Amino acid sequence: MKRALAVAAVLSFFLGPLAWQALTSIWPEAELTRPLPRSLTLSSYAGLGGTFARAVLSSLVVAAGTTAVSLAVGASAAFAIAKLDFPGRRLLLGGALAISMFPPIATVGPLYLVLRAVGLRDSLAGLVLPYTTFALPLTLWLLTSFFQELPDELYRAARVDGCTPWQAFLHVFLPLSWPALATSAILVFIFSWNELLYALTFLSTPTKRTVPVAIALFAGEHVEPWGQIAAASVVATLPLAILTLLFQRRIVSGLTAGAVKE
Amino acid sequence: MNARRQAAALAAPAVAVLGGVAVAPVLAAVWLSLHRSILIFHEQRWVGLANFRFLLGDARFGSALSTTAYFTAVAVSAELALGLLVAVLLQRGGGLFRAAVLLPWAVPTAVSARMWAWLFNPDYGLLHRIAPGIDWLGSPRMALHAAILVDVWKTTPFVALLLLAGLQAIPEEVLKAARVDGARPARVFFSVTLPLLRPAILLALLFRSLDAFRVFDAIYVLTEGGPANATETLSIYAYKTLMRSGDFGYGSTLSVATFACVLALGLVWLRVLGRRR
Amino acid sequence: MASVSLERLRKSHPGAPDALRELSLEIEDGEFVSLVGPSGCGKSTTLNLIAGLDEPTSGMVRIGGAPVNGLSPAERDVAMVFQSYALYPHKDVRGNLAFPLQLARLPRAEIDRRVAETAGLLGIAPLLTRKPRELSGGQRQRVALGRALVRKPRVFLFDEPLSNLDAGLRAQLRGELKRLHAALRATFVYVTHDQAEAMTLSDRIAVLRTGELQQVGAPREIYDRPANRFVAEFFGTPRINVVPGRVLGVPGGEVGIRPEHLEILAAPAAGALEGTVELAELTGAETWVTVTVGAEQLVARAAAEFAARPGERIWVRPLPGRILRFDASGDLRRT
Repeated sequence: MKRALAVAAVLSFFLGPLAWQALTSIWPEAELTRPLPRSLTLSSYAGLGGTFARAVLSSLVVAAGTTAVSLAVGASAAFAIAKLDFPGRRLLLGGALAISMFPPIATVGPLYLVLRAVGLRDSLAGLVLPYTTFALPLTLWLLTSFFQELPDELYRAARVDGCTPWQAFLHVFLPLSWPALATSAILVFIFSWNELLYALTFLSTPTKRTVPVAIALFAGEHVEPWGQIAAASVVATLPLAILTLLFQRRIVSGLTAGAVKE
Repeated sequence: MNARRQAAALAAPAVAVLGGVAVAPVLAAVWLSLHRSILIFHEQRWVGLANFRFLLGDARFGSALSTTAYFTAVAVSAELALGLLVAVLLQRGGGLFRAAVLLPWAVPTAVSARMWAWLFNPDYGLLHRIAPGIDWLGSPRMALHAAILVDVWKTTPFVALLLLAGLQAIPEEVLKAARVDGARPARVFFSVTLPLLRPAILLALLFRSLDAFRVFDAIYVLTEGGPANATETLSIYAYKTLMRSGDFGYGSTLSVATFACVLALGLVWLRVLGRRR
Repeated sequence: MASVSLERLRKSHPGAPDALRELSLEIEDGEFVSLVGPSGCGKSTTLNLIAGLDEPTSGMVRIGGAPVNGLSPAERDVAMVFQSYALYPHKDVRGNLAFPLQLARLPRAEIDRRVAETAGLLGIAPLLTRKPRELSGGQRQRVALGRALVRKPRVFLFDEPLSNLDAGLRAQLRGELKRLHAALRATFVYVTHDQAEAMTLSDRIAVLRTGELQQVGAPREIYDRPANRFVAEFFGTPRINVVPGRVLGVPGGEVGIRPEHLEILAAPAAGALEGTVELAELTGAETWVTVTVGAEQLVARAAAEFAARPGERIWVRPLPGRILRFDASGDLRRT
């Protein structure tokens, strides 16, 4: 009985605000002053318009790009750290973890100047590389733990069979790492989708804004369009909600990887 | 050996990327902090430690620092307490419950800040209807706590997950032995479970306090640092100096100072964690 | 097929400065040589050096007379069978067998032919489409063997391949390995910690201890004329009895006498020692009797029908010519 009460309390705390936001999104703008809506409408969604749709597209591009880059760069590095012997491998992993703890504000200034100098400032591509600051350490951490679990003899067998380290990675270890790659991809995607500071600082064209920026800067002409903001929030949250529902177990194991080992 | 060179080659891209987008900019920020650099005036000249001397006397920096420290302390404590409760519930909860609890974590911070802004709205917000009279975002004292509430809402799931992992690592037999020895459930929890949970708690504290100290998104969207800089944390102050005033010299100084604080905090926690081992 | 020469090999790691100390060994073409010793003795290290998975700190490895230091495993033309089989989980049996040939860029037809030939030889042809996780331990070991065979290498290396199998399967595969060696006439270098395995399989045995070679020789020689106390104690079950010399009438030093060389008598006789039965363990085919003689305990092998009970008086007599004398440093004294 006590447990049911606690569960209900927890669920209403976490899901309540989301439910209210969803309700607001179908609440007619004119009736927002009333305690409850008399009718429901989708006009807030309709009013979102192309700008927000473009924001979703921008976020998709940046999140997908970051995921691709961090997996491509991180997988081979994680394999090298886990299975091969080269100087500085522990430093690389430790350094990557330390980097993930950097406050983004510490790097945003110089990155802004560099991107501006290279002409990538107001571009989605220019956002992907700074995003690897948190994406790559996460990928490295997850994939290194995974590769470490695979037996060392597998690598030795591949070497004796004639593989170079790269071939062993490509033909033996990479095919075996789909679960870890999937977990990394999901987590990196979520983190990239949610990022605000870099996107806010580096992108200036309204049409290029990612979803968090669009929502942060969402403003009506005279009064805050709460209905539309709510609608935008629902749209922004929906893909992530689906991802979370589908891959809940993966996400949990990814987030806690290494936590127990610590 | 050739194999060793190949190994280094496999890791090289990662090193290059991390070096380029993380290490180099931090070093550049340190370099910039030693200059007076206003972007729109195209001004850039060496001033040595003048910026840092100014920093030490900057009242706004002092209040940003104390605001950030207060935010971190309160938010992390609340998340730990609430997270522990949720973790215990998660132990015997199903996948659906887990997904539901995970949802706030998955929602972009900007979105959740906006969502809470609506809840906090002094005219039509839900909280206002339930408990009128509190001007959440308008009063300097309440605004910081509003921001803390948003942070707690968003990150408690993550803390709960870390603690859940710690709970699951506690062998069943130890708890059973305690019960057989005659301890009641509450006693078992406080005398056996919690001490065994210490590594997970410390880990959660490490991650969360470093995250909380770097807070930007929630505050920017909720109050932009207002009202009257009451919720201005270090990151917000640095951001405004960099982007609004275009002062890359002092802005970098603030960024470097923030980085140093986070670094110090991290080292302290690692020390504590190390000693517990 | 080729010979393997190890010339003054030394290997040190940061954690193990003397993993291998100046090991020199000549393995003839077509020979079956076992590297035996307790864990940490350097046998696996040696195997890795022969394979090219590791490079020696100093010294030379030659295969077929040509130095191979610095060459990758593939370039040395050696194959290895691992203790845990190390099969590729994501490939089926055919894929596992074909993989090394694909890496060597052999033509498709040749790969198919060799895979079929090897699968037939090992009796795993019906398993070609199965994945490793669907196979039993014995089947997996055959596939691991097949992966080595299919390459037709110069040298076969075995790293405790039977350790993960239960006793019955181990005995069966041991016999198959011996037959395989006879059929192929290939050079086999076999690492094991099981002395019985080494005795039954090898042409010659190399005994290692903490990185140093103790003795190299045919099984008979290792057993009958061990170079030192360590080798004597390593081979033979139950263990050889080692007691101070005076117990058996030898002045000074220590002596060893194997349990099967101690005769058990019910009455005193010339050359026999009096003692009390401490323990009698029936193993099925025989009885191992522990006898207390003075301050020492000796184990002797008796017939299964042996009936004396603990506490009874008994006499043991060493067979003439079977006493091994060890000097102060443990080496066998030349008589």
